[in-house]
This record gives sequence, C-alpha cells and structure tokens, in this order.
Amino acid sequence: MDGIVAPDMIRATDLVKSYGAILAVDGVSFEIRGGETFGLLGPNGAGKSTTILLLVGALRPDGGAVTVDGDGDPTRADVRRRIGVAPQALSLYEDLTGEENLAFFGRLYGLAGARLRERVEEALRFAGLADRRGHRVRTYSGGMQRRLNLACAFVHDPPVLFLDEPTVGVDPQSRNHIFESIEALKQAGRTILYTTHYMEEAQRLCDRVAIMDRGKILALDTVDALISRHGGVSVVEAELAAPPANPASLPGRLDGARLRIETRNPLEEVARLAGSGVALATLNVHRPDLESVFLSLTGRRLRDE
Amino acid sequence: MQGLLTLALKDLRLLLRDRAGLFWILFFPLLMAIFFGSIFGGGGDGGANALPIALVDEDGTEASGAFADRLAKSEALRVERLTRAEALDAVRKGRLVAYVALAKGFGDTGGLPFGVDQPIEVGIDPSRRAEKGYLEGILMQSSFEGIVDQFSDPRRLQEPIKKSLESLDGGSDLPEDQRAGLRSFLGSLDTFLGSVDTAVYRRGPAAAGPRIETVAIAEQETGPRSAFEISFAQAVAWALLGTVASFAMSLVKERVEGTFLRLRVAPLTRGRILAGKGLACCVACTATVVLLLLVGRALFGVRVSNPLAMGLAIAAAAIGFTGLMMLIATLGRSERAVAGAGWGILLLMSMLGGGMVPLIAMPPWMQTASHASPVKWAILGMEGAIWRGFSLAEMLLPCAILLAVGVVAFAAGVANLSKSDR
Repeated sequence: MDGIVAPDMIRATDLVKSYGAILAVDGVSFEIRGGETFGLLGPNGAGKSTTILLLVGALRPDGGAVTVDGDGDPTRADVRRRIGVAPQALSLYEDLTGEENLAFFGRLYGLAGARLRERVEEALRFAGLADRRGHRVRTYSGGMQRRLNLACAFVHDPPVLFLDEPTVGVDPQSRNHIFESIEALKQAGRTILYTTHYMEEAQRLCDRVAIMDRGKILALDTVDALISRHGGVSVVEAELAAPPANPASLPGRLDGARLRIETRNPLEEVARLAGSGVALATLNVHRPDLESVFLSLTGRRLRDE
Repeated sequence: MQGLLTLALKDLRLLLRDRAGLFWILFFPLLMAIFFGSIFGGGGDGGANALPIALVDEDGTEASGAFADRLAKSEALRVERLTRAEALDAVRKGRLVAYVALAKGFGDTGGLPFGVDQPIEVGIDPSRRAEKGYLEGILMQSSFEGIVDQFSDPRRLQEPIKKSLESLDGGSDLPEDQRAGLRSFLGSLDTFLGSVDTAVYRRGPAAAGPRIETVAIAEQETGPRSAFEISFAQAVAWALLGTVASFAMSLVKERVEGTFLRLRVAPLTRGRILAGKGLACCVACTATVVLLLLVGRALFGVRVSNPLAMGLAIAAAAIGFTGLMMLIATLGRSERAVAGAGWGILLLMSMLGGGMVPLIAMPPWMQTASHASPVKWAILGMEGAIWRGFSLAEMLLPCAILLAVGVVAFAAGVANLSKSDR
C-alpha cells in the first residue's frame, strides 16, 4: 500500500452468525481498503466461508453489520453489480460450455451485446480457456473448471472480488495460473478478499492477513508484522567442517559439530559466522512463517485440522 | 426482465441437453399413451368394427361361390373361409363371432334359398343377440343381391323353371287343372325369358333395385372417440409430472452444487431467481403438452374439440404444476432426498388422480377421492377440451383449482427455501 491510505472498500463490524448451536462467526470485525488484497487464513471450519457469505449478503448476520464501498448494503442490486464472487464449490453449469457459462453470468449482471462479447473474450483469456470455449464444462479438467469458476466471478469486471479458496484441489500448473491471474487483478487495482488455508498463498498474494480460528479473528496485520509479532525467532543451523579453536566465541549452542542459533536477525548471525573463520560444511536458515504464527496463536498446526 | 429471461433460457437449454430428463418428460408419456391407447382398443384400424365370421361352403357350386363372394365384399364382415370343423372351433374359442355354412344343394336353388330344405346355417353363441340379428340382416341383404343378379341375367332362371316343369310332368300331387295352369304359366315365363334382350333388361329399373341414398349425419359426441383420447390426456399428466420432477431436481442440484449461491449473490432478488426457474418450468410444461397433443392428433386422431378450453387447461396445468415443482424442490437438501420424496408424492398423486387408471374407469368412491389430486384436475381439464365437450364455464372449476394449487404451492416452496437458506 506504500503508505497511501485508501478509503475502506469493505467494512465488517462485530459480525455474528450461528447455525443452530454452532457459532460459526463470533464477533468478526475488519476493514479492507480499496485496492488491497486481504487474506482470511485459517483451517477448514474456521468460519472463513461463512464470513464471505455474510459480506456478500447471501446470509443474514445474527448480529453486526457489513458495508461495501462506503455505506453500500451488499443485498442491494447496485452494490452487487460491483461485487464478484468465486465460491469454494465449483459453481458452474456442467452441461453448458465455458463460453455459455460466462455469457450467462455476464447477462445476469446486465451485460449485453458487444460489451458482453468483449468481456467473455477477456474472461476466457484470463482463464486460459479460449481454445476450449465451445466444450461443455463437464469435459474440463479440475484445474480448468477452477479457472473458469474464477473467471465467472470476474466476467462483469467488478472492482471488488471475493475469492473463497480458489486453488482447492488444483494441479500445480493451474495453481500457478490462478496466482498469476490474481496478481494481475491486484495490479489492476481490484480489491480482493481471499480465503485460504495454505499459508504460502496468503504470504505470496496478500497485503494483510487475518488469522481466523473457530469463528474469531486471532490476529490481523501485514504478513511481516504478524510474523514479527507472533512467529518467534529465526533459526540458523550449521554443521562445522572442523572443530572450532575457541567454541566459546561462537554464538548459539554447539552440539558436537552442529551449531544452532536462535535469533531475530539471521542475516547478521550468518555474517558473524562467516567472519569468525570457522569452516562450515552446511548452513540452513529457518525463518518463521504464517504456519509458525498460527501455531503460536492456537497451539495447533494449520493443516492438522 | 432480462435477468428473468436469461435464467429461464438457461434452464430450458440445460433441459434440452439432458437426454434422460427428456425421456421422462416426453418419450415416456408418449409410450404410455400409445401403450394404454392400444390395449384399450384405440387402434384406429378401420376394419376393427367388422364382424369376424367363418364361411363354410359345403356346396361348392357356382351359386354358393357367388354368395360367398358377396359376403366377403361386405364392409360389415371380415370373412375367413374354413371347413366346418375349423369354423366350429374358431367360434367356440371366441376367435370368430359366428360361422355361416352353405349346405350341399344350396346351388340347386339357383342361389335362391327360399322355402327349400337347405337353409343357410348360422352358428353363433345364443347370448350374442345383437350380432346374430346383425348377421342375419347381412345374409338377407346378400340373398337379395343374388336375386337382383339372377334377374339381371334372365336366362339363368330358365334352368330352375325347366326343373319345375319336369317335376310337374313327373307326377305332382296337384290337381290336374292347377297343374295345367302352372304348366302354362311356367311355359310362358320360359318362353319370355328366352326371348329377352338381356342388355336392355340390365338397364331397366328392376335390375337396379331400390335407390338408397346415404346421408352422413355426425353423431353427437358423448364420449371419447377412441381410447387414445383418454390415454393422451393421461400422458399429459405423466409429462407434467416428469417436468416437475426434472425441474425440482435441477433446483436442488443448483443448491447442492453452488450455482444457486452464485445466483443469489448476483443483482437479482430471490423472488426473481425462483420466478426464472418457474418460468422455465411453465414453458417446458406447456411445450411438452402441446407436443404430445400434436403427436396424438397427427398419428392417433386425438382431436381437441375446444381449442380455447384446451389453451386454458394447458395454462392452468402449467402454472399448477410449476407451483408443485417449487414445493417439491424444497422437501430436502440433497438430490436423493428430493428425488425420493418428490417421486413418491407425484406417483401417489398420479395413482389417485387418474394418471394410471383412467378417471372414467374408476369406481365412484375413488373418483371422489381423486378430487384431492391435482393430477385429476389436469386430466379433467384436458379431457374437457378433448372429448368431454366442456364449455368455458365448465372449464373454470379444474382451471381454478390448478391455479390455486400453483399459487399456494409456489408460495410454500419459496417460504421453505427462504427458511433453509437463512
């Protein structure tokens, strides 16, 4: 965001939603600025999808409020025209072709004629499906269907996108394609809310991340700030090629030929090692990540769920 | 409006691409109509009403052959030439209604079987009085045609006259004065017949017989003209049920697979989304019914006696069953649940409402019970426009009931859906 504070595009205030006795969303609040890519990171069942459904007006909250683009109520048609949603489930008509799916959803958002054709072409290119446009969706691979699912959210050219786990179950090639597509959307200034339980996706794509578990937001900040605050220290591990002349001069803990240094500034420690004159057989640096943050906040791992 | 049409066109396109769905909506009802129409005797064969009989010609003369030919030409009969034993067996087993036997000596009368010892023998079950009278009438007609034939060729009458003269000369019991008078009369007749110019005679009024003119008078219809007029009305009900099931399944499939969520976050109200589904269902119901009736008309002679009433019946049925579709679609959250519950309810409705056993064939208590089924009112509306001859006023009851069912069921379905999506 480079220090420029854009106005809030999405604001959630104290959202609460229960399904019977299960409290799915428990007092969730956050704001997403215009042009920002905001990640909701949490394990399955954390309440991410329910939060999205509340934000787009598909569910009515038991408590709290949502506004989109100023004071817009997401149940209003004019607000919905500015929103694109890619649900977690592949929400496509399998017996229509890719092109027909895009045209159908484009028409629902009021596109017609040349503008519709232009947007469908753009969406087909975006999804890398131009050469399969006339084939029925049921003949597409899982990755192609996932890309089309994303393209259908984007076909009417909305400024705000809600992408609910858009890479679930796809092959690495399609995942890369989706990442590149989302980065292109980000470059074009779209505001994106992105849910995932893959920390590397959140780290790669999101400007800010909210860590969510059991319906609550546990922490919210930039990736670096979250790691810095909750991720703990980095670990530098080295295997010495020869016993050091003066082991006491080395930082960290030496166990035989293995040296382990826990530090908040690993680069500085590596430089010190290099300057100490010891010969190293191997050197590894383990930086904390969002997985460490989640572990630190919940005591559990993201993908154990 | 664009959104509504877009939604409806999408559903219709998906329906057209669903071969299994089309089978249940269109081909299965058509098969039902043909099957039931055929087994209830609606074959439409022109010869179906001809009386099937056997002809036993034991005489084997020219006269008996001519008589048999005249019978065979009759449109009222379907004649099989059999031996006496075969004929007896066929009649006993009910394959043929009767046999007609021409005994030996039939030809001796010159084909004029009056007052001789060789009558035409008719073998028939005595309980079949109507057919017996019918057959006797045809035999009399055929005999008179024989007389006309004889008189059209007077020389053929000379042989029996000669035989009669020989009989008189050979010792008749008649008194001599009467015998002389008869001999004189027969001799003169023989002389006359021998001198007649047959070409002139055949043109005369005697040869032509009485002039009978047939005037076509259409009977006032008080029932179905063929079994197909009943079976196609039933088929319409099956088509409606198939359409309802197909659209109910498509709605629950959208909910399960997530496309319904995508529709709900589009700039459309929930009412408009469901109205789009309803519009597609309504159009599919209408198109299916019209298509079935056109096939019935083209191939099986099913006639719509009141097109305006038929239009009303189709519209009311389409709306009524669209409402049912919406209600059935919300009976469960999974395709399996909706398919099970939906078909169970629809089959019950069909069974009770005349979709399986025609209303006309139901016992009175069941006809009363059938009032509870929308299928009954749909079939009644169709039959009213096809063969019951309902006036528009008489169409109001079934149409109003179907419309009410449609509105109430649609509203209940929408309420169910709103509750479950909250």
